[in-house]
Amino acid sequence: MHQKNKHITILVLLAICLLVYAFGEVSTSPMPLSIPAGWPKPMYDFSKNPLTKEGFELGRQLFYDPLLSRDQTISCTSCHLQATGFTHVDHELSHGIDDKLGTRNSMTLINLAWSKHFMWDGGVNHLDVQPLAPLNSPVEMDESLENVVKKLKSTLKYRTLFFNAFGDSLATGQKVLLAFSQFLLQLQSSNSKYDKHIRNEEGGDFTAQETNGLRLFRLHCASCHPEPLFTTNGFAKNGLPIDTTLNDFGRMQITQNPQDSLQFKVPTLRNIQFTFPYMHDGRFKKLREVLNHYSSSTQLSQPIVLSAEEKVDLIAFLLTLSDREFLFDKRFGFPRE
Amino acid sequence: MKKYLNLIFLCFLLQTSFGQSTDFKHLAFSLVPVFGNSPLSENKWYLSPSSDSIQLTKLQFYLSDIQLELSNGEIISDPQKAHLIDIFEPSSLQLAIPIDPKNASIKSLHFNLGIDSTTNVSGAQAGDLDPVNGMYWSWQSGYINLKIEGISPKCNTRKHAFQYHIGGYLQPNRALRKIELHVNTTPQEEIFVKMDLATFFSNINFTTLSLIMTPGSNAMKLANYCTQMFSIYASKK
Repeated sequence: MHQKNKHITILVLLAICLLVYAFGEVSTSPMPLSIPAGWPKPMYDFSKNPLTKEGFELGRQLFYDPLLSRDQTISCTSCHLQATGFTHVDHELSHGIDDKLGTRNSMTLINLAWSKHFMWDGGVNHLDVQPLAPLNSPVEMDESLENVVKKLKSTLKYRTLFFNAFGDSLATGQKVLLAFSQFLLQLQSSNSKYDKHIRNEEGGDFTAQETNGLRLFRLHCASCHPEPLFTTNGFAKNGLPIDTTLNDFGRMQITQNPQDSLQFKVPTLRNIQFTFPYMHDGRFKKLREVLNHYSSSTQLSQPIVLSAEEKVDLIAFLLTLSDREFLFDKRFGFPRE
Repeated sequence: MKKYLNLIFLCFLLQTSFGQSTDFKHLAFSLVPVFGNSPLSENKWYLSPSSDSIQLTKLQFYLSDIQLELSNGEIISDPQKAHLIDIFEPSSLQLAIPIDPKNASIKSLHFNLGIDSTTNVSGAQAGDLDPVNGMYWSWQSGYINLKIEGISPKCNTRKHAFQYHIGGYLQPNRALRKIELHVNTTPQEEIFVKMDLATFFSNINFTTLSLIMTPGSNAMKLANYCTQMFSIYASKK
């Protein structure tokens, strides 16, 4: 009898231990990407950083926080504004800390899960390590990951957010980077008029002009900007003469291979209506100027032959790539508490 | 039911006891940094074999994929992928590789100086590989395998400083170097690996090579010089 009581006591204690153990673990809510039918398999390995609501929320807070910069003035959104496809509009070259100018036009942040290389020269080899580039750049945030981690550790808000996302309130460099990826991977644009057209959905009816534009696009542009991502995610020489005030040779600066001279990353065309100015150095303000370049460049092996009317139709099609649901999705916006 | 619960209880006990176990044997492996015949210290003047005065201010590098080859051919791998070594941080010079003391004698020690290509393209890593450690390039992704910084009057640079940040994981500029050292020792003994900076600097011409901070042919040359630094110092009980 006595023995039995002892057993019960042990079992009760054990149950308490298990309960404490179970509730000590943080529970996160999965938030997988919903990949549209017919899209290729993403490049990002989600098994190493499973997407959760809590990780996304932490990443979003970091994205909009100027704490990341040396003097707390610049956040990611300074150059990557949601309403303009997460890029910096109206500046040929993006500017950062102390109003310093960079050497390139900031890239959009759209459908990054499918990208293998990042930056115009592809110098960044994985989405996780992308935030390090603007963070360390002396003309962008001029800060170190080490110091960012220090600042985050001393902020109660972030201790809570890190605990919710990773079960540990203390930030590490790795966790900061994984949280950034959690946010950036969710920036998926797949609800433009074009997408609705392809899916035969309401709001996807093309005008005759747009239909002709799509035909011309598939004929002349799709080899570098294939659907549905509108980029090969590779590099290409687009015939732009070098700007001697910048002397930017693109991919060659990374690979040191002369073959890569003037090769730049092929950007997606999604939301192109709002992402002006265009090209790596923002030299064209209007889509018309871009098409004029491609139809007249002497540096291209085959300039595109387009009549004035065809250019108008092609631009009409490009405007169907605007995805207002994405550009105004509250989940991706500035976190208001 | 009761049996089942008892079993869970037993598992729980076993887990906690094993979790706290410090019974496992380790092979101690220490790095001994020297400059010729002198022990290496921070901010101390040394004279290189090519008669340059040298002071070292920073010496950090990655040792990765450490393996022990036993006399029976068996390979024992260090469970930790990489160790960040700071020569002026004595605690980081002591490494320990889990090994069964009953194992056969150890024939050789293998390790990589630097980080392999796969790890270089695998995104954010933890611990010694966390980019927070400052051994990572941000403008061109990749680990810095090794940093050697210091001063020499021969350098025509600001404050006569030299700075070698050696890295690069893409061919033809892959700066990782494999090191193999014959040891012939038992698992109970400690291995001392000498790292002689004088051999590295005997190759260096400061007037032409004082700042290298990008992957490329110069980094490859420096990586080759690095491999000559390592040798077995002695092993003793």
